[in-house]
Amino acid sequence: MKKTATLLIALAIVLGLASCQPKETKLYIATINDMHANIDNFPKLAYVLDSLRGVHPDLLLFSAGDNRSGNPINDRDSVPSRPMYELMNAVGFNLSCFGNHEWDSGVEALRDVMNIAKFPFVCANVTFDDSLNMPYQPYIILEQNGLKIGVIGAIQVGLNGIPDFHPDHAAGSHFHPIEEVLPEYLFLRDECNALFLLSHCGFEEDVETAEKFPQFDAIFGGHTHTLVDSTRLFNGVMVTQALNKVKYLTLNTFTFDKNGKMIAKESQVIPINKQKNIDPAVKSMVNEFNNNEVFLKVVGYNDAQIDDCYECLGCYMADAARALAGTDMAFQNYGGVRFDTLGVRPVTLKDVCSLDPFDNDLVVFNMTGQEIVDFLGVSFFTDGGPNYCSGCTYTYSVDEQGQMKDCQVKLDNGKPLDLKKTYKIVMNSYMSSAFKFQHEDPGTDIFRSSNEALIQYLTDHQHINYADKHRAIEK
Amino acid sequence: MYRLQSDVLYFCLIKTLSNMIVFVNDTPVRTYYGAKVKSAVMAYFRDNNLPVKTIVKEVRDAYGNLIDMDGSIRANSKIYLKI
Repeated sequence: MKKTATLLIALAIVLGLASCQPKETKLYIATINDMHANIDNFPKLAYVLDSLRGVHPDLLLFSAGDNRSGNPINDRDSVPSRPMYELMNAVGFNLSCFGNHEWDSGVEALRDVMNIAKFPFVCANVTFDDSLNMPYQPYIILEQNGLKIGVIGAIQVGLNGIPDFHPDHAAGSHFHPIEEVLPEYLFLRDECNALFLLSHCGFEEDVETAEKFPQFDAIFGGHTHTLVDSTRLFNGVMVTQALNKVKYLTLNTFTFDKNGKMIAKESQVIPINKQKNIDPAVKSMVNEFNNNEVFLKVVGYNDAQIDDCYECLGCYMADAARALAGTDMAFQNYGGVRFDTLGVRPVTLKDVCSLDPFDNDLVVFNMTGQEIVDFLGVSFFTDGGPNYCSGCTYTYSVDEQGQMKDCQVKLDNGKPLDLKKTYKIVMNSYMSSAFKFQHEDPGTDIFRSSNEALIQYLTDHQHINYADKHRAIEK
Repeated sequence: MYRLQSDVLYFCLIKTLSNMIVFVNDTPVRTYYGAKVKSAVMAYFRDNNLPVKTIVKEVRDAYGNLIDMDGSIRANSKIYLKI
Protein backbone atom coordinates (compact mmCIF):
# COMPACT_ATOMS: atom_id res chain seq x y z
CA MET A 1 0.00 0.00 0.00
CA LYS A 2 2.78 2.34 1.06
CA LYS A 3 4.74 1.38 -2.07
CA THR A 4 1.74 2.18 -4.29
CA ALA A 5 1.29 5.56 -2.65
CA THR A 6 4.96 6.42 -3.24
CA LEU A 7 4.64 5.43 -6.89
CA LEU A 8 1.53 7.56 -7.30
CA ILE A 9 3.26 10.57 -5.74
CA ALA A 10 6.29 10.07 -8.01
CA LEU A 11 4.02 9.81 -11.04
CA ALA A 12 2.18 12.96 -10.01
CA ILE A 13 5.47 14.82 -9.67
CA VAL A 14 6.61 13.64 -13.11
CA LEU A 15 3.27 14.58 -14.69
CA GLY A 16 3.33 17.88 -12.89
CA LEU A 17 6.81 18.64 -14.12
CA ALA A 18 5.80 17.61 -17.62
CA SER A 19 2.86 19.96 -17.55
CA CYS A 20 5.24 22.81 -16.56
CA GLN A 21 7.38 22.16 -19.64
CA PRO A 22 6.61 24.70 -22.36
CA LYS A 23 4.83 23.08 -25.25
CA GLU A 24 6.47 25.43 -27.71
CA THR A 25 9.77 27.25 -27.96
CA LYS A 26 10.18 30.52 -29.82
CA LEU A 27 13.30 31.74 -31.58
CA TYR A 28 13.59 35.43 -32.44
CA ILE A 29 16.15 36.68 -34.95
CA ALA A 30 16.45 40.31 -36.03
CA THR A 31 18.08 40.72 -39.43
CA ILE A 32 19.34 43.79 -41.22
CA ASN A 33 21.24 44.27 -44.47
CA ASP A 34 23.08 46.84 -46.57
CA MET A 35 23.62 49.24 -43.69
CA HIS A 36 26.23 51.05 -45.82
CA ALA A 37 27.70 52.79 -42.79
CA ASN A 38 24.63 54.87 -42.03
CA ILE A 39 25.89 55.34 -38.50
CA ASP A 40 23.48 58.22 -37.85
CA ASN A 41 20.59 55.76 -37.56
CA PHE A 42 22.35 53.61 -34.97
CA PRO A 43 20.98 55.45 -31.90
CA LYS A 44 17.46 54.63 -33.14
CA LEU A 45 18.43 51.08 -34.04
CA ALA A 46 19.90 50.60 -30.56
CA TYR A 47 16.68 51.83 -28.95
CA VAL A 48 14.56 49.46 -31.04
CA LEU A 49 16.84 46.53 -30.24
CA ASP A 50 16.74 47.34 -26.51
CA SER A 51 12.95 47.40 -26.69
CA LEU A 52 12.85 44.07 -28.52
CA ARG A 53 15.25 42.51 -26.04
CA GLY A 54 13.01 43.69 -23.23
CA VAL A 55 10.35 41.36 -24.64
CA HIS A 56 12.62 38.71 -26.18
CA PRO A 57 15.81 38.57 -24.09
CA ASP A 58 17.34 35.89 -26.31
CA LEU A 59 16.97 37.89 -29.51
CA LEU A 60 19.71 37.18 -32.05
CA LEU A 61 20.92 39.88 -34.43
CA PHE A 62 22.41 39.14 -37.87
CA SER A 63 23.72 41.36 -40.67
CA ALA A 64 23.42 40.20 -44.27
CA GLY A 65 26.43 42.20 -45.43
CA ASP A 66 27.47 45.54 -46.95
CA ASN A 67 28.06 46.93 -43.51
CA ARG A 68 30.28 49.65 -44.98
CA SER A 69 30.62 52.01 -47.98
CA GLY A 70 28.45 55.08 -48.27
CA ASN A 71 29.74 57.33 -45.52
CA PRO A 72 33.26 58.82 -45.58
CA ILE A 73 33.24 59.16 -41.79
CA ASN A 74 33.32 55.38 -41.70
CA ASP A 75 35.00 54.45 -44.94
CA ARG A 76 37.87 56.94 -44.61
CA ASP A 77 38.61 56.29 -40.97
CA SER A 78 42.27 55.60 -40.26
CA VAL A 79 41.09 52.01 -39.85
CA PRO A 80 38.45 51.88 -42.59
CA SER A 81 35.05 50.83 -41.16
CA ARG A 82 36.13 50.92 -37.53
CA PRO A 83 33.16 53.16 -36.57
CA MET A 84 30.64 50.69 -37.98
CA TYR A 85 32.17 47.69 -36.28
CA GLU A 86 32.42 49.44 -32.93
CA LEU A 87 28.76 50.39 -33.25
CA MET A 88 27.80 46.87 -34.32
CA ASN A 89 29.59 45.58 -31.23
CA ALA A 90 27.77 48.13 -29.07
CA VAL A 91 24.30 47.13 -30.25
CA GLY A 92 25.08 43.42 -29.96
CA PHE A 93 25.36 41.87 -33.39
CA ASN A 94 25.78 38.08 -33.19
CA LEU A 95 26.74 37.34 -36.79
CA SER A 96 27.43 38.83 -40.21
CA CYS A 97 28.05 37.57 -43.71
CA PHE A 98 30.18 39.43 -46.26
CA GLY A 99 28.74 41.88 -48.77
CA ASN A 100 30.58 42.83 -51.93
CA HIS A 101 31.39 46.26 -50.48
CA GLU A 102 33.27 44.70 -47.57
CA TRP A 103 36.23 44.49 -50.01
CA ASP A 104 36.16 48.20 -50.93
CA SER A 105 39.30 49.04 -48.96
CA GLY A 106 41.03 45.79 -49.87
CA VAL A 107 41.09 42.39 -48.23
CA GLU A 108 43.67 43.28 -45.56
CA ALA A 109 41.50 46.18 -44.38
CA LEU A 110 38.57 43.77 -44.23
CA ARG A 111 40.58 41.40 -42.07
CA ASP A 112 41.57 44.26 -39.74
CA VAL A 113 37.98 45.24 -39.01
CA MET A 114 36.90 41.61 -38.69
CA ASN A 115 39.36 41.49 -35.82
CA ILE A 116 37.59 44.48 -34.24
CA ALA A 117 34.20 42.76 -34.58
CA LYS A 118 33.08 40.81 -31.51
CA PHE A 119 30.92 38.59 -33.67
CA PRO A 120 31.84 35.96 -36.27
CA PHE A 121 31.57 36.11 -40.06
CA VAL A 122 30.18 33.30 -42.18
CA CYS A 123 30.58 32.71 -45.90
CA ALA A 124 30.59 29.33 -47.62
CA ASN A 125 31.47 30.43 -51.15
CA VAL A 126 34.68 32.30 -50.56
CA THR A 127 38.11 30.98 -49.68
CA PHE A 128 41.19 33.02 -48.88
CA ASP A 129 44.90 32.48 -49.26
CA ASP A 130 46.21 31.06 -45.99
CA SER A 131 48.65 33.94 -45.65
CA LEU A 132 45.74 36.33 -45.11
CA ASN A 133 44.62 34.60 -41.89
CA MET A 134 41.03 35.62 -42.43
CA PRO A 135 38.96 34.99 -39.27
CA TYR A 136 35.82 33.58 -40.88
CA GLN A 137 34.01 30.27 -41.25
CA PRO A 138 31.66 28.82 -43.89
CA TYR A 139 28.89 28.22 -41.36
CA ILE A 140 28.18 28.37 -37.67
CA ILE A 141 26.00 26.46 -35.25
CA LEU A 142 24.50 28.64 -32.53
CA GLU A 143 22.73 27.21 -29.50
CA GLN A 144 19.73 29.04 -28.11
CA ASN A 145 17.07 27.76 -25.69
CA GLY A 146 18.19 24.19 -26.30
CA LEU A 147 17.89 24.64 -30.06
CA LYS A 148 20.71 24.15 -32.52
CA ILE A 149 20.66 26.84 -35.20
CA GLY A 150 22.77 26.36 -38.32
CA VAL A 151 23.64 29.44 -40.37
CA ILE A 152 25.51 29.29 -43.67
CA GLY A 153 26.89 32.46 -45.28
CA ALA A 154 26.78 33.34 -48.99
CA ILE A 155 27.88 36.19 -51.23
CA GLN A 156 26.87 37.23 -54.75
CA VAL A 157 29.31 36.27 -57.48
CA GLY A 158 29.11 38.13 -60.79
CA LEU A 159 29.67 36.89 -64.32
CA ASN A 160 33.32 37.87 -64.00
CA GLY A 161 33.77 35.40 -61.14
CA ILE A 162 33.95 37.96 -58.34
CA PRO A 163 31.35 40.03 -56.47
CA ASP A 164 30.65 43.62 -57.57
CA PHE A 165 33.88 45.30 -56.52
CA HIS A 166 37.05 46.41 -58.22
CA PRO A 167 39.08 43.38 -59.41
CA ASP A 168 42.23 44.84 -57.83
CA HIS A 169 40.66 44.17 -54.44
CA ALA A 170 40.15 40.47 -55.12
CA ALA A 171 43.76 39.42 -54.55
CA GLY A 172 43.89 36.42 -52.23
CA SER A 173 40.10 35.93 -52.27
CA HIS A 174 38.54 33.14 -54.32
CA PHE A 175 34.83 32.99 -55.01
CA HIS A 176 32.68 30.05 -56.01
CA PRO A 177 29.10 29.79 -57.33
CA ILE A 178 26.83 29.41 -54.33
CA GLU A 179 24.69 26.64 -55.84
CA GLU A 180 27.82 24.50 -56.30
CA VAL A 181 28.95 24.99 -52.71
CA LEU A 182 25.72 24.66 -50.75
CA PRO A 183 25.25 20.86 -51.16
CA GLU A 184 28.46 20.41 -49.16
CA TYR A 185 26.81 21.95 -46.09
CA LEU A 186 23.34 20.44 -46.24
CA PHE A 187 24.36 17.85 -43.63
CA LEU A 188 23.56 20.67 -41.19
CA ARG A 189 19.86 20.07 -41.90
CA ASP A 190 20.02 16.82 -39.93
CA GLU A 191 22.17 18.25 -37.16
CA CYS A 192 20.18 21.41 -36.46
CA ASN A 193 16.67 22.36 -35.45
CA ALA A 194 16.79 25.29 -37.84
CA LEU A 195 18.87 25.96 -40.93
CA PHE A 196 19.30 29.45 -42.35
CA LEU A 197 21.18 31.08 -45.20
CA LEU A 198 22.60 34.52 -44.45
CA SER A 199 22.92 35.77 -47.97
CA HIS A 200 24.30 38.77 -49.80
CA CYS A 201 23.16 37.44 -53.17
CA GLY A 202 20.10 39.59 -53.90
CA PHE A 203 16.39 38.87 -53.64
CA GLU A 204 15.91 37.18 -57.02
CA GLU A 205 18.86 34.88 -56.48
CA ASP A 206 17.63 34.09 -52.95
CA VAL A 207 14.28 33.05 -54.42
CA GLU A 208 16.11 30.79 -56.90
CA THR A 209 18.13 29.30 -54.04
CA ALA A 210 14.92 28.67 -52.11
CA GLU A 211 13.46 26.85 -55.12
CA LYS A 212 16.58 24.64 -55.38
CA PHE A 213 17.24 24.11 -51.67
CA PRO A 214 14.05 23.60 -49.64
CA GLN A 215 16.29 22.38 -46.81
CA PHE A 216 16.53 25.98 -45.59
CA ASP A 217 13.96 27.30 -43.17
CA ALA A 218 14.71 30.88 -44.14
CA ILE A 219 17.06 32.98 -46.22
CA PHE A 220 17.97 36.31 -44.65
CA GLY A 221 19.05 38.36 -47.63
CA GLY A 222 20.70 41.56 -48.82
CA HIS A 223 22.35 43.20 -51.87
CA THR A 224 19.29 44.33 -53.86
CA HIS A 225 18.08 46.76 -51.15
CA THR A 226 14.64 45.15 -51.24
CA LEU A 227 11.92 45.71 -48.67
CA VAL A 228 10.14 42.40 -48.03
CA ASP A 229 7.40 43.77 -45.83
CA SER A 230 5.53 40.56 -44.99
CA THR A 231 6.16 36.84 -44.66
CA ARG A 232 7.10 35.55 -48.13
CA LEU A 233 7.53 31.82 -48.66
CA PHE A 234 9.09 30.31 -51.78
CA ASN A 235 9.04 26.52 -51.93
CA GLY A 236 8.39 26.67 -48.19
CA VAL A 237 11.49 28.77 -47.54
CA MET A 238 10.96 32.19 -45.98
CA VAL A 239 12.95 34.91 -47.79
CA THR A 240 13.49 38.26 -46.10
CA GLN A 241 15.28 41.56 -46.73
CA ALA A 242 15.00 44.95 -45.03
CA LEU A 243 15.72 47.67 -47.63
CA ASN A 244 18.98 49.45 -46.74
CA LYS A 245 20.85 52.07 -44.70
CA VAL A 246 19.34 51.05 -41.35
CA LYS A 247 15.87 52.22 -42.39
CA TYR A 248 14.26 48.94 -41.34
CA LEU A 249 15.04 45.68 -39.64
CA THR A 250 13.23 42.39 -39.98
CA LEU A 251 12.01 40.53 -36.90
CA ASN A 252 11.84 36.82 -37.71
CA THR A 253 9.91 34.55 -35.36
CA PHE A 254 10.24 30.77 -35.45
CA THR A 255 8.12 28.41 -33.35
CA PHE A 256 9.25 24.89 -32.40
CA ASP A 257 7.22 22.09 -30.88
CA LYS A 258 8.32 20.23 -27.76
CA ASN A 259 10.47 17.93 -29.92
CA GLY A 260 12.36 20.86 -31.39
CA LYS A 261 10.64 20.68 -34.75
CA MET A 262 9.87 24.00 -36.42
CA ILE A 263 6.12 24.39 -36.77
CA ALA A 264 5.72 28.04 -37.74
CA LYS A 265 7.70 30.97 -39.10
CA GLU A 266 6.91 34.55 -39.82
CA SER A 267 8.64 37.84 -40.46
CA GLN A 268 7.72 41.46 -40.01
CA VAL A 269 9.63 44.64 -40.75
CA ILE A 270 10.13 47.30 -38.12
CA PRO A 271 10.82 50.86 -39.27
CA ILE A 272 13.90 52.43 -37.73
CA ASN A 273 13.83 55.81 -39.49
CA LYS A 274 10.51 56.77 -37.96
CA GLN A 275 11.52 56.01 -34.38
CA LYS A 276 11.73 59.11 -32.24
CA ASN A 277 13.53 57.55 -29.31
CA ILE A 278 17.25 56.99 -29.26
CA ASP A 279 19.84 55.26 -27.15
CA PRO A 280 21.90 58.12 -25.63
CA ALA A 281 25.07 56.07 -25.15
CA VAL A 282 25.09 55.02 -28.81
CA LYS A 283 24.27 58.59 -29.83
CA SER A 284 27.33 59.77 -27.97
CA MET A 285 29.47 57.23 -29.83
CA VAL A 286 28.05 58.42 -33.15
CA ASN A 287 28.74 62.06 -32.25
CA GLU A 288 32.30 61.16 -31.46
CA PHE A 289 32.72 59.46 -34.84
CA ASN A 290 31.11 62.37 -36.65
CA ASN A 291 33.53 64.76 -34.98
CA ASN A 292 36.39 62.55 -35.97
CA GLU A 293 39.34 64.57 -37.09
CA VAL A 294 39.77 62.15 -39.97
CA PHE A 295 37.11 64.10 -41.82
CA LEU A 296 39.22 67.19 -41.30
CA LYS A 297 42.30 65.32 -42.44
CA VAL A 298 44.31 67.24 -45.00
CA VAL A 299 44.51 65.26 -48.22
CA GLY A 300 46.55 67.83 -50.18
CA TYR A 301 46.91 71.53 -50.93
CA ASN A 302 45.29 73.94 -53.34
CA ASP A 303 48.06 76.24 -54.53
CA ALA A 304 46.03 78.92 -56.34
CA GLN A 305 42.80 80.71 -55.56
CA ILE A 306 39.80 79.43 -57.52
CA ASP A 307 36.95 81.94 -57.76
CA ASP A 308 33.58 81.27 -59.37
CA CYS A 309 35.07 78.60 -61.61
CA TYR A 310 33.20 75.33 -61.87
CA GLU A 311 35.35 74.37 -64.82
CA CYS A 312 38.56 74.68 -62.79
CA LEU A 313 37.33 72.15 -60.27
CA GLY A 314 35.67 70.10 -63.02
CA CYS A 315 39.10 69.74 -64.68
CA TYR A 316 40.52 68.49 -61.39
CA MET A 317 37.71 65.92 -61.19
CA ALA A 318 38.29 64.82 -64.78
CA ASP A 319 42.05 64.52 -64.25
CA ALA A 320 41.46 62.45 -61.13
CA ALA A 321 39.05 60.07 -62.89
CA ARG A 322 41.41 59.67 -65.83
CA ALA A 323 44.37 58.94 -63.57
CA LEU A 324 42.47 56.28 -61.63
CA ALA A 325 40.94 54.62 -64.68
CA GLY A 326 44.07 54.87 -66.84
CA THR A 327 42.18 56.12 -69.89
CA ASP A 328 43.03 58.41 -72.81
CA MET A 329 40.44 60.97 -71.80
CA ALA A 330 37.94 61.69 -69.04
CA PHE A 331 34.78 63.76 -68.94
CA GLN A 332 33.05 65.32 -65.97
CA ASN A 333 29.53 66.69 -66.28
CA TYR A 334 28.81 70.34 -65.65
CA GLY A 335 26.09 69.61 -63.05
CA GLY A 336 28.28 67.23 -61.06
CA VAL A 337 30.65 69.90 -59.73
CA ARG A 338 29.12 71.14 -56.49
CA PHE A 339 31.14 74.24 -55.64
CA ASP A 340 33.13 76.76 -57.61
CA THR A 341 35.37 78.56 -55.13
CA LEU A 342 38.37 77.20 -53.26
CA GLY A 343 40.96 79.28 -51.43
CA VAL A 344 44.70 78.74 -51.24
CA ARG A 345 44.62 76.32 -48.37
CA PRO A 346 44.82 72.72 -47.31
CA VAL A 347 42.11 70.57 -48.89
CA THR A 348 40.38 68.28 -46.41
CA LEU A 349 38.52 65.06 -46.88
CA LYS A 350 35.36 67.02 -46.11
CA ASP A 351 36.12 69.40 -49.01
CA VAL A 352 36.55 66.49 -51.41
CA CYS A 353 33.34 64.80 -50.29
CA SER A 354 31.45 68.11 -50.61
CA LEU A 355 32.80 68.70 -54.11
CA ASP A 356 31.52 65.29 -55.23
CA PRO A 357 28.85 64.00 -52.85
CA PHE A 358 27.18 61.66 -55.36
CA ASP A 359 29.10 58.44 -54.78
CA ASN A 360 29.01 57.56 -58.49
CA ASP A 361 31.04 54.72 -59.91
CA LEU A 362 33.39 55.33 -62.81
CA VAL A 363 32.47 53.71 -66.12
CA VAL A 364 34.99 53.12 -68.92
CA PHE A 365 34.02 53.14 -72.60
CA ASN A 366 35.85 52.43 -75.83
CA MET A 367 34.50 55.12 -78.13
CA THR A 368 35.38 56.37 -81.57
CA GLY A 369 36.31 60.01 -82.05
CA GLN A 370 32.95 60.57 -83.74
CA GLU A 371 31.10 59.02 -80.79
CA ILE A 372 33.03 61.32 -78.43
CA VAL A 373 32.10 64.45 -80.40
CA ASP A 374 28.45 63.36 -80.45
CA PHE A 375 28.61 62.63 -76.73
CA LEU A 376 29.91 66.15 -75.99
CA GLY A 377 27.01 67.62 -77.93
CA VAL A 378 24.38 65.45 -76.23
CA SER A 379 25.71 66.05 -72.73
CA PHE A 380 25.92 69.81 -73.36
CA PHE A 381 22.25 69.86 -74.30
CA THR A 382 21.11 67.49 -71.51
CA ASP A 383 23.15 68.93 -68.66
CA GLY A 384 22.87 72.56 -69.68
CA GLY A 385 26.61 73.16 -69.92
CA PRO A 386 29.85 71.81 -71.34
CA ASN A 387 31.58 68.70 -70.08
CA TYR A 388 34.88 69.32 -68.37
CA CYS A 389 37.64 67.16 -69.72
CA SER A 390 41.05 65.62 -69.20
CA GLY A 391 43.44 64.42 -71.87
CA CYS A 392 42.09 66.90 -74.40
CA THR A 393 40.71 70.40 -74.94
CA TYR A 394 37.89 71.41 -77.23
CA THR A 395 36.27 74.44 -78.78
CA TYR A 396 32.62 74.77 -79.71
CA SER A 397 29.88 77.21 -80.51
CA VAL A 398 26.22 77.18 -79.59
CA ASP A 399 23.35 77.64 -82.04
CA GLU A 400 20.09 79.45 -81.45
CA GLN A 401 18.42 76.29 -80.13
CA GLY A 402 21.09 75.92 -77.48
CA GLN A 403 22.75 72.99 -79.25
CA MET A 404 26.51 72.61 -79.37
CA LYS A 405 28.00 72.82 -82.88
CA ASP A 406 31.42 73.02 -84.55
CA CYS A 407 33.06 70.96 -81.83
CA GLN A 408 36.80 70.60 -82.42
CA VAL A 409 38.69 68.35 -80.03
CA LYS A 410 42.47 68.48 -79.66
CA LEU A 411 44.34 65.81 -77.74
CA ASP A 412 47.01 66.65 -75.18
CA ASN A 413 49.68 65.55 -77.68
CA GLY A 414 48.58 68.41 -79.93
CA LYS A 415 46.92 66.20 -82.53
CA PRO A 416 43.27 66.57 -83.47
CA LEU A 417 40.86 63.84 -82.42
CA ASP A 418 40.73 61.13 -85.09
CA LEU A 419 37.02 60.59 -85.68
CA LYS A 420 37.56 56.99 -86.82
CA LYS A 421 40.01 55.93 -84.14
CA THR A 422 38.83 54.26 -80.93
CA TYR A 423 39.80 55.87 -77.61
CA LYS A 424 39.36 54.72 -74.06
CA ILE A 425 37.43 57.24 -72.00
CA VAL A 426 35.98 57.38 -68.49
CA MET A 427 32.96 59.18 -67.06
CA ASN A 428 30.82 58.83 -63.97
CA SER A 429 27.89 56.43 -63.89
CA TYR A 430 25.33 59.25 -63.84
CA MET A 431 26.61 60.52 -67.19
CA SER A 432 26.79 57.06 -68.70
CA SER A 433 23.16 56.39 -67.83
CA ALA A 434 21.51 59.77 -68.15
CA PHE A 435 22.96 61.03 -71.42
CA LYS A 436 21.52 59.62 -74.62
CA PHE A 437 24.63 59.20 -76.74
CA GLN A 438 25.56 56.69 -79.39
CA HIS A 439 28.12 54.15 -78.22
CA GLU A 440 28.82 50.73 -79.58
CA ASP A 441 30.55 49.69 -76.35
CA PRO A 442 28.00 49.53 -73.49
CA GLY A 443 30.72 50.47 -71.00
CA THR A 444 32.30 48.72 -68.03
CA ASP A 445 31.82 49.73 -64.43
CA ILE A 446 35.26 49.63 -62.81
CA PHE A 447 33.71 49.62 -59.31
CA ARG A 448 35.77 52.59 -58.18
CA SER A 449 33.98 55.77 -57.20
CA SER A 450 34.59 59.26 -58.55
CA ASN A 451 35.09 60.36 -54.96
CA GLU A 452 37.81 57.78 -54.47
CA ALA A 453 39.52 59.12 -57.61
CA LEU A 454 39.60 62.66 -56.19
CA ILE A 455 41.16 61.53 -52.95
CA GLN A 456 43.69 59.30 -54.68
CA TYR A 457 44.74 62.04 -57.11
CA LEU A 458 45.23 64.61 -54.39
CA THR A 459 47.06 62.12 -52.19
CA ASP A 460 49.41 61.24 -55.06
CA HIS A 461 50.04 64.82 -56.24
CA GLN A 462 49.70 66.63 -52.90
CA HIS A 463 49.50 70.02 -54.66
CA ILE A 464 46.96 71.09 -57.27
CA ASN A 465 46.69 74.28 -59.26
CA TYR A 466 43.59 74.61 -61.38
CA ALA A 467 43.14 78.39 -61.29
CA ASP A 468 41.94 79.67 -64.68
CA LYS A 469 42.00 76.18 -66.10
CA HIS A 470 39.79 76.17 -69.19
CA ARG A 471 39.66 73.22 -71.51
CA ALA A 472 36.18 73.62 -73.01
CA ILE A 473 36.18 76.94 -74.83
CA GLU A 474 33.16 78.52 -76.44
CA LYS A 475 34.13 80.34 -79.63
CA MET B 1 49.83 34.40 -82.03
CA TYR B 2 48.86 33.37 -78.52
CA ARG B 3 48.84 37.00 -77.46
CA LEU B 4 46.54 37.91 -80.34
CA GLN B 5 44.14 35.10 -79.48
CA SER B 6 44.03 36.03 -75.81
CA ASP B 7 43.38 39.68 -76.68
CA VAL B 8 40.51 38.66 -78.94
CA LEU B 9 39.09 36.39 -76.26
CA TYR B 10 39.44 39.12 -73.64
CA PHE B 11 37.71 41.61 -75.92
CA CYS B 12 34.84 39.17 -76.53
CA LEU B 13 34.57 38.45 -72.81
CA ILE B 14 34.46 42.12 -71.88
CA LYS B 15 31.88 42.79 -74.55
CA THR B 16 29.73 39.95 -73.24
CA LEU B 17 30.11 40.85 -69.60
CA SER B 18 29.59 44.56 -69.89
CA ASN B 19 26.40 44.44 -71.91
CA MET B 20 23.31 44.04 -69.78
CA ILE B 21 19.63 44.33 -70.56
CA VAL B 22 17.12 45.01 -67.80
CA PHE B 23 13.41 45.66 -68.12
CA VAL B 24 11.93 48.90 -66.81
CA ASN B 25 8.13 48.97 -66.96
CA ASP B 26 8.48 45.95 -69.28
CA THR B 27 10.63 47.95 -71.71
CA PRO B 28 14.12 46.59 -72.39
CA VAL B 29 16.83 49.03 -71.39
CA ARG B 30 20.48 48.64 -72.28
CA THR B 31 22.86 49.28 -69.44
CA TYR B 32 26.22 48.04 -68.23
CA TYR B 33 27.25 45.19 -65.99
CA GLY B 34 27.33 46.36 -62.37
CA ALA B 35 24.58 48.95 -62.87
CA LYS B 36 22.33 49.85 -59.98
CA VAL B 37 18.59 50.53 -60.06
CA LYS B 38 19.19 54.27 -60.51
CA SER B 39 21.34 53.61 -63.61
CA ALA B 40 18.55 51.58 -65.19
CA VAL B 41 16.00 54.26 -64.30
CA MET B 42 18.21 56.94 -65.90
CA ALA B 43 18.61 54.79 -68.99
CA TYR B 44 14.82 54.39 -69.17
CA PHE B 45 14.36 58.16 -68.95
CA ARG B 46 16.99 58.61 -71.64
CA ASP B 47 15.34 56.12 -74.00
CA ASN B 48 11.91 57.61 -73.47
CA ASN B 49 13.01 61.24 -73.70
CA LEU B 50 11.94 61.96 -70.14
CA PRO B 51 13.75 64.68 -68.17
CA VAL B 52 16.59 63.30 -66.03
CA LYS B 53 15.08 65.09 -63.04
CA THR B 54 11.74 63.25 -63.34
CA ILE B 55 10.53 62.44 -59.83
CA VAL B 56 10.30 58.73 -59.12
CA LYS B 57 7.65 57.99 -56.52
CA GLU B 58 8.60 54.36 -56.06
CA VAL B 59 10.36 51.43 -57.69
CA ARG B 60 9.24 47.84 -57.25
CA ASP B 61 10.70 44.54 -58.38
CA ALA B 62 8.97 41.73 -60.26
CA TYR B 63 7.67 40.35 -56.95
CA GLY B 64 6.05 43.65 -55.96
CA ASN B 65 8.64 44.48 -53.33
CA LEU B 66 9.75 48.08 -52.88
CA ILE B 67 13.40 48.52 -53.87
CA ASP B 68 15.84 51.35 -53.30
CA MET B 69 17.52 53.26 -56.14
CA ASP B 70 20.92 52.16 -54.78
CA GLY B 71 20.02 48.49 -55.01
CA SER B 72 21.94 46.18 -57.33
CA ILE B 73 20.29 44.71 -60.38
CA ARG B 74 21.33 41.88 -62.64
CA ALA B 75 20.73 41.01 -66.27
CA ASN B 76 17.05 40.55 -67.18
CA SER B 77 15.81 41.97 -63.87
CA LYS B 78 12.37 43.54 -64.12
CA ILE B 79 11.62 46.74 -62.27
CA TYR B 80 8.53 48.92 -62.28
CA LEU B 81 8.51 52.68 -61.78
CA LYS B 82 5.77 54.92 -60.52
CA ILE B 83 6.52 58.46 -61.71
